[in-house]
Parts: sequence; C-alpha cells; structure tokens
Amino acid sequence: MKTQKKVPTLQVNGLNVWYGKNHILKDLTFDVLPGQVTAFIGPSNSGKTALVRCFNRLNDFTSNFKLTGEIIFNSKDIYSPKTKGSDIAKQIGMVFQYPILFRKSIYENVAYSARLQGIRPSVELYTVVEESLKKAQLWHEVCDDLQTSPDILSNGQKQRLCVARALAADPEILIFDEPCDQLDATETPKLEAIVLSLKRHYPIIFVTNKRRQAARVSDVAGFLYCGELVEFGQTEQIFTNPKDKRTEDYVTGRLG
Amino acid sequence: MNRSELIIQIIALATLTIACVLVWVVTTEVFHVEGEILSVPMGIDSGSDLIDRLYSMIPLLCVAMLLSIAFAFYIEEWLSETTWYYRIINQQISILANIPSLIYGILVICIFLFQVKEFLNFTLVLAIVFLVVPVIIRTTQSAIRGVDLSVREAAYALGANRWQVITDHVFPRAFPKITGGIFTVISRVLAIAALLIIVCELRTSIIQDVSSYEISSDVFVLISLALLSCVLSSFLQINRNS
Repeated sequence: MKTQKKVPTLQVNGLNVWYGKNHILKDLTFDVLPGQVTAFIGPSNSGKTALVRCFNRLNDFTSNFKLTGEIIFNSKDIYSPKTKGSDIAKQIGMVFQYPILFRKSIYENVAYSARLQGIRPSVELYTVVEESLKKAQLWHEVCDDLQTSPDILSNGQKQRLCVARALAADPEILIFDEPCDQLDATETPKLEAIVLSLKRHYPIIFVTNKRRQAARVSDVAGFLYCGELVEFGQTEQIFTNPKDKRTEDYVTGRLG
Repeated sequence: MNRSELIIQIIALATLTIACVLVWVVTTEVFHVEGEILSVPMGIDSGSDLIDRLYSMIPLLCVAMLLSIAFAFYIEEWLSETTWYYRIINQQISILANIPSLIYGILVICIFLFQVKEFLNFTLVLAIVFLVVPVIIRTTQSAIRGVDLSVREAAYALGANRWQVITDHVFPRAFPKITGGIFTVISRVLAIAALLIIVCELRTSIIQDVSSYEISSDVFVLISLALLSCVLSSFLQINRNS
C-alpha cells in the first residue's frame, strides 16, 4: 500500500534530549500523520515516555532537561521561545499510565478540561461532557452517577474517564502513554477499541511495551532502543519483515 | 555534592548568626538594654495587661501567617530546587523551625525583666514572627510536596497554567495540612503567652512582696486552648492523608 500525501500533524526533526548528563533521546526524526495510530514500542528505559512528554512540554518541569532539534506541530515549533507551554498542552491530549483523576465528581473531572478551553455556559458544558464520555464509551456506565466521586469506578473505567477528559479539551492529537499497563484482560480490549474508533478523528500516538498490542492497534510503528529510533515504518513491515537485527530480536522476543 | 551541601549549610548558619548579632547589637547599643532588673518603672502591670497586648498582636499574627503561606508557595512552585538560593533559604527555614519555642519565650522574658517600654512591643513582634513564620513555611512546604506529582502533570497536560494548577489542585489538596500547621503554630504561641503571663505575675508579686502566688485563670484558659489546637492540628493532618 502506498502512503497518501498527507500533511503531517507532527514533525520531529533531529530531536535530542538530555536529562542532566543522560542522553535520553538520540537524533530522532519522524512524522506523525493524521488518520492513523503511530505506536512506539521498546523495552523500558528506551525513552518512550520521555519522547511523548516532549510533545506537550511536560518535560519542562523536569530539572536539567535539555532539548535540541525541533518538533513542528501545526507548522509551529513547539519549543520556540514564543510558544506558551500551556497553549501547546491544550491542543495535545494525553492519557497516562495510571488513571489520575482529580478530587471532583465524574462530571466535574471531564468538565474541568472543557472549562480550561474557555467553555463556560452549563448547557454547552453538559453537551461536551456527554459527547466525550460517549466517545470514550463510558456514557452508559456512568450516566446515572455523574455527580458521584470517580472512586466508585473500576481501574478500566477510570482510564476511560481519563480518555474522556482528554477528549473534552478538544485536542488535535491524542497521546496514550502505556495506557493499558494497569488494566486487566477484560478492560484492555475496550481501550483498544476506543483507540481504533478515535483514529478517524485524531492522529494518535500510542506508547506501549506490549508488542502484540502495538501490532493490533497501530498502523505505523517505531522501535525505540536505548534512545535511538532503530526503525520506523508500517506496522506490518516492522513485525513481519524488520530491516534491523535489533528490531527483529525485539519483535520475536529475544531482546528486552 | 557533599561538599556543596556543607557549603550551603555553613552559609545558611553564617547568615543567620550575622542576623542574630545584628539584632543583639541593635538591642544593646540602640535601646540600651541593661541589667537593672526590677528597678525600672513597670511597663506592664499584670497578666491581663499583657493579654491585651497579645490581642493587639492578632492582626499581625494573621498577616504573618498569610505571608508565610504565600512565601512557601512561592519558593516551592517558582524557585527551582537546584538553585543555591533555594537551598540556602530552605536550610535557614529548617534551622529556624527547629528552634524550640521556649527559646523565643526566654528572649521575651528577658526583655520583660529588663522592662524597656518602647522595646517591649518590638520584642513581642519579633518573637511572634520568629515563632510563626518558619513553622508555617515548613508545614506548607511539606504539604505542597505531599501533593502527588502525577496530579500536577495531569492538569498541566490538559493545558492548565501554573496558577490554575496551584489554585485548582495543589492548594485544595494541601489545605488540610496547611491548616494543621496553622493550629500547631497557634498552640505554640498560646503556650508561650501562658508562660509570659506567669512570669509577669510572678514579677509583680515579687515587687509587691507578696509571699503567696496563685496562677490566674487566664493561664489555664490559654493552656487549654493550646492543647485544643494541638489536638485539632493532629486531627487535620492525619484525618485526610488517605
């Protein structure tokens, strides 16, 4: 299949990242295209999380963080001095490894991110919350308990609530950072289904350390190893016909 | 790393010592506090007079508390932990916060015995500020640090700015511990006030050559209030830790 000419949502050119003296990411260059899921696989400590945290500038709060190269998002450099970190984060939704919820009701958790976007009227807020919860396939499970604390939810439901919260901010790209690490076997397929249903609307970056999950979910995959992007290409090719020896070792389970 | 820690410690101690010496010089040279105990006319006649003075300190106490909470937020949220001035300030605060409150009490008692009128308010202010500020800064700092980093990150990832993260998430989560710290400080201040009243009244009874002395009810009220706020503080700090 030939790749269509699409404008990349996110372009990464020669990205290098240091935490203090540790060279975490070494000269990465790739594009994230709309309409597909881009997965990053690799063993732990390969820099996957550090990479996605560059996109919404969460690394700014890490001490001794240094970055060279450029990340172009919507034809703007994310790390140019003119761009504000919070403006970038507003356009990039992120779901973390652990379901981190605020001490508010289920409704308020989702409404909070809509409010940050400047949506004030309650009718509008309610529609946004409902739509996001429906997109996260959680609406039918929580529509009667919107005002209760999210503590009553299961881990998987909490993670889907996090997805809804990220969606309520109306992002232009979604990042999943090992979202299924804390989920059990019944919840993982649900989250994967959400990812697949969302990929028509948002470009998605999906970080995982489970090889099979990446094969199931993604269209394009990148293999990160010790901060290097060893291989980046169509998922099918990465998993069936890898060019690099290390990729082959990893996808067959001999490495990591 | 170890050597720089030592240097920071030394600088913090040195600056504090210089500040103390300065205060000492000012008190002895400028105000001429000398040791003529009990001979000078009294500035304060009784315990209740002292209580009135302490009451007048309440606004000051509140302002000092608010400012130290604000300062704690400033140094925790805006200063980077690796900078030398953050480390020095941090070290100084922990030294000051660890000084037993009785030492401040003794400072005030000495001034009482010397009875320098114009100096009295100044000492009270100084003692209360030193009693209150470091402890509140310390507890607020630890309350802020107790807020999970992941919560901040989740909020930052949604596009909240630093100010919104503080007001929406950090402050509400740190609030019980901060109020706990405030009650700890209140109990410290009340205990010192009770001690001062006893000293004051003892002095009066010595001057008037009265052989019997009864502890006034004010002291009991202050001590029971101090105990109450102690209990409240531990309740606030433990109850919502989960």
